[in-house]
Amino acid sequence: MDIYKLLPKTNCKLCGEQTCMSFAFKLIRREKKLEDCKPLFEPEFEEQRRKIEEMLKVVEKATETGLVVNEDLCIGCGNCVVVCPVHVYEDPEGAGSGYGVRIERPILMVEDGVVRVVDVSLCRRYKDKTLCVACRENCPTSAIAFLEEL
Amino acid sequence: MICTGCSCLCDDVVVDEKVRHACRIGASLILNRNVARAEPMVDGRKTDLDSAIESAIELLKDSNKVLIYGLNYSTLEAQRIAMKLAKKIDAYLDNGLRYDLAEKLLDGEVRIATLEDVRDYAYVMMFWMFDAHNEMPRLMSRTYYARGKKRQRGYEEDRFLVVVDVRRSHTAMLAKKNAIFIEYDDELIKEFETAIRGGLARREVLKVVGELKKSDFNVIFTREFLPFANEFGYIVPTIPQTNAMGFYKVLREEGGKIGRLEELDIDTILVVGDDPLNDLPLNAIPNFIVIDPKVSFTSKIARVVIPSAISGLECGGTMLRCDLVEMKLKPPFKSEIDDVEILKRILRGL
Amino acid sequence: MRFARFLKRLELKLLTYRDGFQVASARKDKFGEEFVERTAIIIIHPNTAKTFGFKDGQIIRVKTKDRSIRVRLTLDEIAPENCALMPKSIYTNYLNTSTVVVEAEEGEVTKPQDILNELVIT
Repeated sequence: MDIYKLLPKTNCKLCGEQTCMSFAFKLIRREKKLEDCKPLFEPEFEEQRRKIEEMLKVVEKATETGLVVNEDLCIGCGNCVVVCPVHVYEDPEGAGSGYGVRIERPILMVEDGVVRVVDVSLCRRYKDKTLCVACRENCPTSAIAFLEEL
Repeated sequence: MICTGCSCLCDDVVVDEKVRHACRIGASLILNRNVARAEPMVDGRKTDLDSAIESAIELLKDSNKVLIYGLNYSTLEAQRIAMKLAKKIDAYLDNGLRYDLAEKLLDGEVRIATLEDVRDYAYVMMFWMFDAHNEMPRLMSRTYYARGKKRQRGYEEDRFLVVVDVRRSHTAMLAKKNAIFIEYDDELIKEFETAIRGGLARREVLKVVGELKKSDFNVIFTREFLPFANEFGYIVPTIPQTNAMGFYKVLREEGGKIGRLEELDIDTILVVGDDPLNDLPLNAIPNFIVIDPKVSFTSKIARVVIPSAISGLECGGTMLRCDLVEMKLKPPFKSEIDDVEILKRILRGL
Repeated sequence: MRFARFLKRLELKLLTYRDGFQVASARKDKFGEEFVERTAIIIIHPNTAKTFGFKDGQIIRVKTKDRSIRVRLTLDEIAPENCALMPKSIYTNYLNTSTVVVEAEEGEVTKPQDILNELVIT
C-alpha cells in the first residue's frame, strides 16, 4: 500500500470515493485517474505526486498480467523463475534445474537482463486462486510484486 | 553462447534479437558491446592498430621494470602468451586479487565442489562474506534454488542456507525459512573451528554445526581461505572476475614472478582487460599500455591503447568457471583482433 | 528546498560493496550517464538520515582528510544504521578511507573525469 501512504489521507471525498484507501485501490485498477485527487496537485504534495506517477508507470505495464516487475530494481538473478512451482512442474529440466526456461510459454523469464512476465494465466494465484508467494519471497530487492498488494 | 559477465560462465544464454537468460551484468556486456569501444591511441592521439602495437613494443623495450596487470577477463590461451611474455622480459605479474584460496585449491589442500554437484547434493550452503546477489547474480538460482538429484523437494526442505556478512546484504535477505544470517565479527572463524570439533560457541554457530551432521555434502561459498573448510565440507570459490581462476591455473603451469602493483616501483604497466585506476588507489602514475575492448579509466591516461575483443562474445578460447570447470567459449560474433593476436605480436616484436 | 538551512555535518563509517547494477553500468560505458547515476551515490539508513535532516535524492559532499567528492544521497535500509554505503568504484578508491564526513551541498555530482584530472595532477 505504498501508493496509499503517499496520498493526502484526509478522506476529503473530492475524488468521489469515501476514503483515500479506496481511491488508492481504484487508482491501481485504472478505475480512477490521478487527476481525480484535487489536493494531490497542490504544491505541498508535489514530491508525493511525482512518486505516485513513477509507481503508476510500473503498474501501467502490469494491468494485463497482474505481476508487476520494477525493472529498475531487477538484476536478472532468475530466483523467481527457478522458484516458481509451476515452472518446477512444467519445466523440470530447464527452470526447475536452475537453467533458463526451456518451455515455450513460461510465466516469467529473464530477457535483456531483467525479468519479463510472459504468460500469467498459468500462475496459481490466478488459475487456482492459491496464495503462492514464491517469486516475491525470493526477490531481495522487491522488484517483483503482485498487483493486489501494491 | 557462454556468458562472460562473471565467473558463473552461464552456458544457457541465447543471443538473437534479445538476450535470453543472462542476468543484468551479462546482458549489459552483450547488449552494449558496441558502446564506448576503445580506439588505437598513442600519447593521446588517435592512430591505427599497427602503430599502436609498434609503440607498445618500443615502450616495453625502453622500460626497466615492467608489470603485466589484469588478465582476469582474458582466455587461458591469452593468459599463457602473456606469461610467456612476462618471462621473456622479466616482468612481474599481478591480477589485482588475492592468492591464498587459489593456491590452496590448486595444491589440493581444499576440496572443491562443482556447481552441478552443489545443486544435486548440497544441504548446508554457507555464503561467507559474499553478496552473491550482486556479485554473481545467477549463482543462487543455479545452486540453492534449483532442484537437484538428491534435492528434489526444493530449498525450503532440502537446503539450509547460512549467510555470514558484516551487514544485511541482499543475499542475507534471502535467509528466511530453514536459513540463518550471522553477523560477522573477528571471533567467528575461531568459533566455527571450535564448534566443529565439538566445543562451545555462540548459538547461531552451534545451530549451523548441528545442521552439518544431517548431510555428508555441505558447501561454503567463499573468496578467502577458511581453516575449517575441509571439516565443514566442500568449497566453491566465488571470485567473480570471469577467468581469474584461469589466471591462477596458468600461472602455476607456466611459472612467473608475482608482484603487487601498489608495492612495486614500476616504469611501465601492461594492462590486459582490466582497469587499475578503477580498483586501486595509486600513488604515482607510471607509463600505461592498455589492451582492452572498451574505454576505461586507465585507457584515458594511458600512453598506448590497443583495442581488443570481448572474450566469449567476439572471440573464442577457453575459460575456467569459478569452480575450475573448463568452459569452451562459443562466441556469436567475430572480431578481427583479440588478446591472443595482440600479445603474440608484442611477444614476436621483443 | 533551495539552500540547506543548517549546515548539517555527519561523521560516518564508510562501507564499500559491489553493486550489481553499478557493475552492469560499468560494462556499458564508464563515462556514460548511467554509470554516474549508479556509482556517484551514497546510501544511508532512513533513520540515520532523519536524525540529521538529510533527504532522499539530495546532493551530499563526502569528505576525508584531504579529498572530497559530491554524490547523490539514497535512503535505503540496506545501509546499516550510522554507516554509509558506497558502491566500490573509482570514487571510493579515490577517497581511500573507512570514515567520512558528509555534508549537504548544492551542485552537480562529481564525474569520473574530474577524479581522473585530480589523480593525474597529484
